Amino acid sequence: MSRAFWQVIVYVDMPLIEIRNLRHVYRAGTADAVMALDGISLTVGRGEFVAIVGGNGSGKSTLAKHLNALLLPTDGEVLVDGMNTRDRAVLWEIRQRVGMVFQNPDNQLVATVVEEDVAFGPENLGLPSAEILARVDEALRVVEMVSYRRHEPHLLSGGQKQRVAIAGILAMRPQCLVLDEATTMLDPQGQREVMETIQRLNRDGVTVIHITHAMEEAVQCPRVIVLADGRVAMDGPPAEVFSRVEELERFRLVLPPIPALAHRLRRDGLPIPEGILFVEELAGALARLVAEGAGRGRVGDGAH
Amino acid sequence: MALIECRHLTHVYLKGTPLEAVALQDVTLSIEAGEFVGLIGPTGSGKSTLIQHLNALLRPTGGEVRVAGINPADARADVKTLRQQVGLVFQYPEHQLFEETVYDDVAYGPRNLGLTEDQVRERVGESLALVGVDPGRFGRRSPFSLSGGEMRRVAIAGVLAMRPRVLVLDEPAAGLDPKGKEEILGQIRTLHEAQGLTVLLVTHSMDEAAQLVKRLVVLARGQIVMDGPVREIFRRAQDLTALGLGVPAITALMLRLRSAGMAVTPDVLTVDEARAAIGKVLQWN
Repeated sequence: MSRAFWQVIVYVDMPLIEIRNLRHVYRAGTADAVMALDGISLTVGRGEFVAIVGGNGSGKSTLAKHLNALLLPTDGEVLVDGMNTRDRAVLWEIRQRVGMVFQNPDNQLVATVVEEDVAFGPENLGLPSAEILARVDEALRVVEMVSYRRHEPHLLSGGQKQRVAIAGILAMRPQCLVLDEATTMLDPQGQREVMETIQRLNRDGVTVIHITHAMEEAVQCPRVIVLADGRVAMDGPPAEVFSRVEELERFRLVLPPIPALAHRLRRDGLPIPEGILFVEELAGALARLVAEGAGRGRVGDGAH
Repeated sequence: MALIECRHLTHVYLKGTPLEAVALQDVTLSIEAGEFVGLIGPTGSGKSTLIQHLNALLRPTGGEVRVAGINPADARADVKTLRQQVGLVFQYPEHQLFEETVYDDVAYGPRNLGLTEDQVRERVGESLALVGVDPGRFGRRSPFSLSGGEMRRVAIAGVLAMRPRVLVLDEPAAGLDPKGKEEILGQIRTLHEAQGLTVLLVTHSMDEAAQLVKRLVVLARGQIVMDGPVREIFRRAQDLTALGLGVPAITALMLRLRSAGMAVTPDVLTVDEARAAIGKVLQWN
């Protein structure tokens, strides 16, 4: 069902990112050659919010680096807004459309003051200073860091640093934001801040591709792509992907506690619907069971 | 006497300067040999400062610390022995790998102790086995050719090769994929259970704490705000939420079910326990 749904989007709208049979081999032609991507084909439409998950070494970061031509295909094609990443003439246009946020909050900020860091990109575009100022203001507002504009980046928390890094990219007015494990090194508070920020950006129309190890984050994304051994192993809504428990295990992924419990209860024979992801959903399903069971007199009070 | 004793421990960074910052304030904590303790708290709560006192990387600016009876503040304190007793595994310990082979990296500490090469070999084999890395298969490989999870296990083996009595781990599962997380945490549990090692686990994850530790110490703004059996701590959902910590997802579900009128037991920590508790209430066959 999900596949047909995504195809509709493809026909309605030219995809922002189109990947055709992408292969990437590191150290190609040597004895140490490693096939990192092995025939990836997928499209991401404008305004989508996609999680990419997969075990260590599944090819996630390699794929991310193809999305703004930091890497070029060994085979196959990557098109960004119709532009081929192999075409050097459009390199900077591609990079302006797709911005990347990396894992380590400590090595992405270049300036000594927050607002100067955010201005770095637009300055390099050679924009007039009024325009730069306007972009910096807007970007800091979107990531809710305006009150820190004159702070020194190294004194910020990890979550705040990542928000400044995101602002620096937003100031380039990209159409797509790629986060390569941008929440991995953050504490729970920082993770929440970044998730909320990218959700807000997505509501404003920015396409978001969020690479993460945190299944709790992936369940919040409308589309989840699972990579394994350099291939797309699953692609669909989280409720569908996270119901395929045995396959996920094989791909070095583990269900978050709530879907895991729902799965166990179903296996125990409880009529709990498939696709449960959140505490409220499972609590609701169990409460309904209790209500129904009470009618049939098979519910105890748990006292013994 | 407890293995680790902190009495009224205070640490002030850059004391007497305009940048003075109180990181720990009047922390009193004792950990007995054989305990498995979790240390949790928001960023900036003093967790890293506290663990650096446990092997004398930092010295108290007030109060005192004793590990295995040794007080590093004593003029004649045997700090070398103290550091051998407390194995500190920092965040992303694989960044500290440096030797050309896995074997040499793990052997670095024991060699510095002046052990014979036979003794070194024994320790390397034993430590790698403890973290589930086959010395025969991996010993000659470069540590940099390993996966992230394998590198981390080799780094922990390097600490275990010193045969510490206490293992202090700062976010040992950070950055690993979900399966890698399970593996490393399982290995730590085994070290505690099979070797009787005392473990202090610093974590941000309530779910991790729920699955592993028996006792939880909660740090906030440089002070211990909660200390007790993990089940009792997680009953204080509101207090934890106020600290920005929250409760594990399973605990949140149980609290939710109770407020909806289901008589499930509240102090449930794992998926298996939750399954049993829900089964009891629904009484299916």
